[in-house]
Amino acid sequence: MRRRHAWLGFTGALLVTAVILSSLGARPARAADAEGPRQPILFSHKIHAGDFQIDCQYCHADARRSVFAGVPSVRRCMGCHQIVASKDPELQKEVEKLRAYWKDGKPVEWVRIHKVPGFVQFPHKRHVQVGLACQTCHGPVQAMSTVAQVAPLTMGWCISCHSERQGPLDCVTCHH
Amino acid sequence: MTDGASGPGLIDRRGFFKLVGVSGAAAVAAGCGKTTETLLPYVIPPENIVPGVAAWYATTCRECPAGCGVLAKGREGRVVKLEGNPDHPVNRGTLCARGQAAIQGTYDPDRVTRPRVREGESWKTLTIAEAQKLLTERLEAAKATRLRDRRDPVPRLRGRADHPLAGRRLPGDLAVARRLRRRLPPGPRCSRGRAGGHDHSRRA
Repeated sequence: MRRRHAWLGFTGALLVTAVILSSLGARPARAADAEGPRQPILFSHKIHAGDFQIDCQYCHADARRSVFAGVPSVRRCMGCHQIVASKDPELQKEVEKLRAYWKDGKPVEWVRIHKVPGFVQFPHKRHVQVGLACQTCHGPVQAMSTVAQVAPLTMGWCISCHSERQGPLDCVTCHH
Repeated sequence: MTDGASGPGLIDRRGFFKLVGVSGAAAVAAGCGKTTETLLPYVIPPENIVPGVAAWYATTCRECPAGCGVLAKGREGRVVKLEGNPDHPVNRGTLCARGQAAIQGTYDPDRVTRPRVREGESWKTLTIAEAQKLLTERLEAAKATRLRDRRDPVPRLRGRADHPLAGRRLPGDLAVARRLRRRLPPGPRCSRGRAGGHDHSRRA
């Protein structure tokens, strides 16, 4: 009887692990992370968009033109940071990291936070041109020192906003 | 108590399958976790390219001597589709299957990437400078002989021996030239894909 009990205990433990892991996997990728992933440069939206009131589209300039909002080129960052530094030595380290990327001619490998599945078309262009604030989907980015996903980006969530604001509800609007 | 024939410390058949099943399920569940994806920005963004927006350039198809006008659709600097140019007098917007497939040749890993010259049965690779020099020499030599002195003034397709039109007369060239002359309005005309060329992004 002893061995059978040991077996039951073992399989039970495995089952519990499996259930916990699968529930983690079923959640939207980043919503569980309150702070979001760690980026190669500790860029703070709170300083740029919050304290300095820089417009979102000053850096994410493709949002009104393209499907993608776009990550600013290293040159665009350097447009300011050629001259602008930080008084805080900790933050200045991050500016120096950026300058190193520029000097080496390498792109910054930002970790992607927001992603809709491949079978969904989400054009930033239309949403920006209709006058939606970026914060509608991205949350109060201007208050985040590290960006995390706020909205679930699920179909139900999209649909609820579309029906509320009389957006198109055809399947092929997003699935084409 | 042990069940069945298995000795102490051994797993019986049923137990083994239980173990495999459960650990397999655990592995599958764990595999559904996060993956890290990176977003790489341009260091210096090229002009006229907006990531996510197609850029159209006008160019010429070189799959056969007709030289149809082609609009090439580029995404982030890579050509993804060819269409006939509706403004071009030769094909007027159409493009044959071979022309459509020309895109395959553009990115073929075995494509000719350097100038080559025939050397008996094989090919010799040249540098660009060597090829230009050779081309200039041959052109100068050709200029020296008058066209009407030649035995066979009709151009023939030369080069690849396995080409379906290899060595055949190409009256089509003359017909195309005649059609071009008839249809082209006077003045410069963009039929080559250059960044500075006029805008073909809006289709007529």
